[in-house]
Amino acid sequence: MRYVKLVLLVIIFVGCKKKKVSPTDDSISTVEKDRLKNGMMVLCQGLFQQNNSTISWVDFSDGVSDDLFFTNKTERLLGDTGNDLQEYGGKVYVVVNVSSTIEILDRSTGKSIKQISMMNNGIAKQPRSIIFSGSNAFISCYDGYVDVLDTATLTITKRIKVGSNPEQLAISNNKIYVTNSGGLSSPNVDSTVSVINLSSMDEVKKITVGKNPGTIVVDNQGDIYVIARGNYSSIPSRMVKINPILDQVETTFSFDASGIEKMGNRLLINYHNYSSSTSRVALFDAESETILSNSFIDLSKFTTLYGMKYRASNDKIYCFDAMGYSNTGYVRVFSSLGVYETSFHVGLNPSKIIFYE
Amino acid sequence: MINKHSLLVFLFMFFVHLLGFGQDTLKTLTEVNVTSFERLKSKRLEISSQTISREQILLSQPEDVGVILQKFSGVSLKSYGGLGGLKTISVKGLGSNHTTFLVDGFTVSNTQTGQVNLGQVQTDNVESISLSSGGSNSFLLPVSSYMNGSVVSINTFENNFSPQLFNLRFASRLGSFGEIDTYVSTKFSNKNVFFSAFGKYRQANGNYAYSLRNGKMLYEGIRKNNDLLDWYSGISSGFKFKNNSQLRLIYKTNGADQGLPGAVILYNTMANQRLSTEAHSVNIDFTHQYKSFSSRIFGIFNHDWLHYTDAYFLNNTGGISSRYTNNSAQIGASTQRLIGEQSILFGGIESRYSDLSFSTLNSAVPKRLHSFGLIGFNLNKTNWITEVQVSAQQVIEENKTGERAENRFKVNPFLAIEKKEVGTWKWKFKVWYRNSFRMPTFNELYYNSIGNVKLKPEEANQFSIGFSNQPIQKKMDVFFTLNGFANRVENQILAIPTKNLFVWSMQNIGRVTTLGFETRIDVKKQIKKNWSTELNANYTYQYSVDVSSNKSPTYLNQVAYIPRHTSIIEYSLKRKDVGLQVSSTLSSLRYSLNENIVSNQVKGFALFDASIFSKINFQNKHQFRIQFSVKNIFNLPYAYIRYFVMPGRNYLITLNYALR
Repeated sequence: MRYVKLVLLVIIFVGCKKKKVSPTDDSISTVEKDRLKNGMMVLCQGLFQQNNSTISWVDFSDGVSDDLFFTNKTERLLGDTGNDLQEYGGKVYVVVNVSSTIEILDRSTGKSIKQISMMNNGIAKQPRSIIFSGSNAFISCYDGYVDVLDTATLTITKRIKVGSNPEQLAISNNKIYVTNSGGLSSPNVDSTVSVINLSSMDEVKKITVGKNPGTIVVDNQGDIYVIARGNYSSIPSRMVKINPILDQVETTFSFDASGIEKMGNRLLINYHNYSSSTSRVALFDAESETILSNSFIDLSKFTTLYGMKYRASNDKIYCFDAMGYSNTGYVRVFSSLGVYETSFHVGLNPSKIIFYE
Repeated sequence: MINKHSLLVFLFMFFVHLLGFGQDTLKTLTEVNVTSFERLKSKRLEISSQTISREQILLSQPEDVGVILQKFSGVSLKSYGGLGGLKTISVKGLGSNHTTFLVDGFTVSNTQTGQVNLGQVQTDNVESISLSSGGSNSFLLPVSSYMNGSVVSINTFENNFSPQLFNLRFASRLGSFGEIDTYVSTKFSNKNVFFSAFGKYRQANGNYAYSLRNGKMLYEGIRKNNDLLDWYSGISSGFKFKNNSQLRLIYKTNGADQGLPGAVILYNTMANQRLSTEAHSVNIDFTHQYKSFSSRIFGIFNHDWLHYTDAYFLNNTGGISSRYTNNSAQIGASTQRLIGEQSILFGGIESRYSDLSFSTLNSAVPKRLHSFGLIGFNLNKTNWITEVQVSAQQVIEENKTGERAENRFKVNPFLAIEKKEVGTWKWKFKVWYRNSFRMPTFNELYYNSIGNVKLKPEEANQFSIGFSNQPIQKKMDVFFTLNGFANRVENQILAIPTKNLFVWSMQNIGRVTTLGFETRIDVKKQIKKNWSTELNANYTYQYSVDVSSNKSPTYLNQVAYIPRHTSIIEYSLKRKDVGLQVSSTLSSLRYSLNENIVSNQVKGFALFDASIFSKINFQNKHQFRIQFSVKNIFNLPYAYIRYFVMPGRNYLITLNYALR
């Protein structure tokens, strides 16, 4: 009798399945359903030693954020202090600093392709940022190297020695420029930018730019702009321009600057004054190299401005509000004229975005 | 500056002395039990003070004092796990720096960190531990201990007189995680003199298995770099003189070398940090009783260093190796005198000098002179006790290498009113209010880029109302107490990221209100001949919320790491010299940050421990005691601090010997 019941159950189950749409249609609809669109993936750094770095998925159709996006896709947590999120060749690369991993996801579904453990003889390399060229990804690692990752095989093929605690990377004139912060040796920080030749894949030069280099971007002319953050007190934080032909510092601008985001051929330059706890965002024209506006974005809604991202497809600026670093944050959207439009509530310490049309 | 101040302290001391000796014609007191600093007149009711005896400590075989303190109501423990690992307590929502530690009437302090690592205070030599916040059981303690939020007072075997001439104690423990301990203590004591020598050695491999939830998966790992080797030893002596006075001299030293396992970091199991410490301490006190007047002068001298290494820290000097050296010297005088039959005037002064030197360049070299003065009056009427205290503190700060913190002068009151035993049910009532503060520590003011010399003291206001009763029952002892409390902390000192996620600094940003109650019931019952049973249970409710700003997303959110509900239940059953105990520790969920959202939750837990013991007496002289304990019986994964995972089920065998 028990077997009869079982057989009956199986028949009913199989029968039900058959009533559904054909398998090919089913898989297409699943793929279509899983395909991420009209939204943004936001990397939220979390806080040190709390393993609470997350990726929030914000659906633009309803503005709702799924802060467990990564866990829902992979069934596990992202780890400690995610620091960079970039897309390349149909994949998303998440650089997780303290967990010392690179998470590689399918861009269209967000599902995990591979997790690369960034350890070197048992010592964490502590990866920070990633940039791409041809079939390679270049990953700055706090242990003083830039790792070369083959984007087809997803294996590390080379380690290029640079300065101490390399932070961000930029590519211009067939060279990679790496900001060596030396932040972990504070107050004896580094003050150089390493130049890696993309053909030889070796460091060819170190350019002295000023204490504690951080953000680095390239404008439409190929000029490189670096922020030398100083020492947060007597040495001010400055923007420095490097000539990519001569690999020399061409200009050190006299205004205060903490971070740069490229918007067309203009630069959004944010500055935070630590003694007065105030921030501002200036607009800089990279062609004429002049400040167009000293206070371009109204920051009255912000608790802690923590970076910006310009989206070319809709010509809008997405700003991060870290809410004092210990509360869940917001992405606040402004028009390219600096007018506030809306905010999305996301996870703890949002810092990077990938947009989906 | 400091010299000028010493003069002031000296003058104040002189003044207090005159005050005392000027009135020696009044009624003589009964003999003062100066060694244990028991209060002169009627013993303080236990509404605002809780005590755990040696017998109860032996039963629970705690790895350190932190575990014992957790058994008091109103206490939230913060444990980072592992033998010797960092443990601190918060009493009724006040941070750990609001609690003063006393061992045998001497304060234990550290100006660098402001707190005692309870994970390194062991219990082998402890006769009793008490926690009080609404007034102390003695007026001859260092006056600084009357000015803080609460006081933990430990009485040890070694530093006090004993009734027997020759005393010997031995204890050995064998536990999970490769733990081996040995403690030996000997004391010669007669009516007029005692000498003791003692020491303990403890080592453990320390690595333990744990499991934790990673998303939808269960992750099992081994918490490594948890090894420990620590020891303490000392010699002590005491002398009683004919004129009702007593002198004690104590030298203690301790040291440790341990791995720091750190938080579990997902996907990265690297842990290389180490800590070694060594401390030396000399304590001296002289207690004198003359007619209605008793006084005590004392000195506490400490030298300690701490060496922290992280061989694989990614800086350009190939890792971190930092050494910190602390020195402190503390002197003080406390005095009390009986006025008439019912009143006690008490007070005293104290001055504590401390300095700190860092081995690293660009570091501050801070020095502090912290002086305390207190005057109080205790009126003991037939049905009422009223106590009023006014204290003043002055802090003078120096830093040779840079900016220094501002000097401070503050006056704080304490007031308590108590209704004595009423009727056959022996009801007692008590209401008290205390205003206190704690200074920012050297680390908070000067530590590299984190320190902030602009910090103000953290202020605390405590109000408590409670009652207890001890109904007289045949063959049964019952004690019940219930206290409600309302506390507020202003200018709370918190470390927060200020420049970016990696650059933290100390700020006075918080304001916290705590409303709650604690209740305790102790029942001891003789079941039949040779059989007895005991139940101790407590429960604490703490609504401890952030009220810094009503615009903040954390306004009225429960503050980080203060659970709303905690409870301890212990039950023991004894037949002659054999017994068993089961106990459970319950804690509701906590938040790792002030924002009360699901992703910040640290799960609550219910832990169960059990032990069985047997005592054997030889010729009524040699007492052996053997105990087997199982901790975390159900092998539950839990943590006090997020990702500082605690061990699963573990075992302990203990052997104690005492020559009686």
